[in-house]
Amino acid sequence: MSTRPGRTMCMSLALAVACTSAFPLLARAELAAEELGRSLSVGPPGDHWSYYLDFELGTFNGRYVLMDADTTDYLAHVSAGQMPTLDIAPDGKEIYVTSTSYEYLVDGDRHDFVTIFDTTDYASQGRIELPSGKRALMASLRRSTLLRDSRFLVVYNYTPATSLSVVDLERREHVMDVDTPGCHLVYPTGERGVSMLCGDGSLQTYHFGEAGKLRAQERSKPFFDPQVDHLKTNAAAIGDTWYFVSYSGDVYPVDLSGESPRFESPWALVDHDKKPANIIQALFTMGKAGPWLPGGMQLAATHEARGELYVIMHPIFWSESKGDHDFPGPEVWVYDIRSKERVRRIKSRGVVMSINVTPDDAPVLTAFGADIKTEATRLEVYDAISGKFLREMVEYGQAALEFEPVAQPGNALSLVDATKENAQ
Amino acid sequence: MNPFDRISDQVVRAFAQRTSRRGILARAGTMLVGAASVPLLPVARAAAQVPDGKGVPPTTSDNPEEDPGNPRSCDYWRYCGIDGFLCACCGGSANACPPGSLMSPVTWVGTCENPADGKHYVISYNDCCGKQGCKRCFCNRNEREAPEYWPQKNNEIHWCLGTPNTSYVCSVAVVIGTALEEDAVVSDP
Repeated sequence: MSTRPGRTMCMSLALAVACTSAFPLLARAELAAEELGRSLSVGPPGDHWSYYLDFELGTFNGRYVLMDADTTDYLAHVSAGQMPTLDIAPDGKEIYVTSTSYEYLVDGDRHDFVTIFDTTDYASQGRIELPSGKRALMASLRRSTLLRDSRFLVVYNYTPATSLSVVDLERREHVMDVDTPGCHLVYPTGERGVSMLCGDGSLQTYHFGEAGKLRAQERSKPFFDPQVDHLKTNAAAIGDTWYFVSYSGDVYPVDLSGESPRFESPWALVDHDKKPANIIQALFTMGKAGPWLPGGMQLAATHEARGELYVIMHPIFWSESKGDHDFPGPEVWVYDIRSKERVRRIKSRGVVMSINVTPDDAPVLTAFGADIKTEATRLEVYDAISGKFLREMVEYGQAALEFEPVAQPGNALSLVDATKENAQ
Repeated sequence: MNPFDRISDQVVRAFAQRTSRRGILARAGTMLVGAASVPLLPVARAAAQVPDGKGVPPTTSDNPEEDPGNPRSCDYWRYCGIDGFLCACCGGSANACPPGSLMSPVTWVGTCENPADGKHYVISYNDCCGKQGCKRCFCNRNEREAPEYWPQKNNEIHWCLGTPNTSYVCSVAVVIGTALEEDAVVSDP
């Protein structure tokens, strides 16, 4: 212990050489030579590991970063190209990143492709080229999906003609394209199909055969009226039931487990009769009195085991009722999907724009938020049950637009076991 | 300014542009990356500010009497549904692309009210394409914007379609004509 003052002084002065001679007691055995050329791999995932999309301004290129929300450790990342999408294999062993890039910086031939990464070393395991120039470049999350057998990946195209590209991940090849006039984005449906949102408020469902070829298609009746209220397309699912949040604060559950979509009755997230705040109320509540509405980018999330729906909400006093559907919110409201009642309000430190929730029994909520005064953006972790702010990941990148937990509801338990085994 | 105005002004100002796609990206994109090893000096803080065009010298339209406002400002009337960098800050104008970039032929349209005559105009929001993003004068307003299943009224879409190069540079707002009152109503869900 007698060396401590000397060591402290050395560190504070950062004069290691001089210190070594001045405090000979510091002398230690020399370090052994280290191996060159090592790369680390990633161990069994923890319950709170999550991917997030880090997005770059100007180039619109992204990367998917793997982080541990318990420690905010940065674990790994993969390059993801322009306006990418991410799909995670149900067993978590592979991820599929759909990307766009160009031959010469932003010029030359355009390549649209799917890259397969294994989730141990995060190295590319192969690449599948898609037809050039068709993939939809937009901020929406639902632009690709795995079919239930997880052998086929379906990619949504927009040129502005709409179509689907079907990819066989097992054979690592593009199978076919299907024109999908007037219908957009993809939600996995039935045994081996996808449903798409159409302009009249209906769903068009496409079913594929065992080889990934189009087998059948059908059009539902409209389940909402887009002339009256719009649905946010970044919906969240519990099992095969998707919860679409509407601009005006209703939620439309759609069961896509069968061959045909089954529409459940919409229910309200907000009190539609709530009166606007008067000036006095607004003054005393910082504008939080009066009606609230949902808004944000990845604005909805779910917890399957708890049967909960999480939605980012803001007071319309703040938004002045303009562009509410994209407006970030200071709170996340949590609903029990059985009772259709709000059960909690999670108050963020500022506002949040994108959220997700891990599927384990002590879930955390990861959020892309911003400080109201400084407008500095940040990646935050909250306790999804107590709502308590837990920690912030610093230097996460530029914009964490999307979060996808590594653990899926179906395999959360096995992941817990694997982590414990690893710890023993 | 009375206390009510001050609160609402603060709150509204803080949120004015913090919304989808490029709005979020702008805010976040201006964070300094890789600055871990150096303290954030005042100059770095300044550089980290949002490129919202507040310090950009203003300009006017060719016809300020009938087309009033500053085309380099997000609150210019015809930007009521825009989402992106304003080309007027990037070497172009409110209705023309910067040199060397090409206007995408397909896009989405909105309707905005011109304060000079109180009429609603149909505005075509075209993206200019062919280089990296301009990263100036970010503006994201979502009034009357609709989801992707109504693409003609959606601004999440990267509209550099039908151009030889699909990289996004900035956005323009071109007046197409006057709108029928019903158009404005129908497009406002």
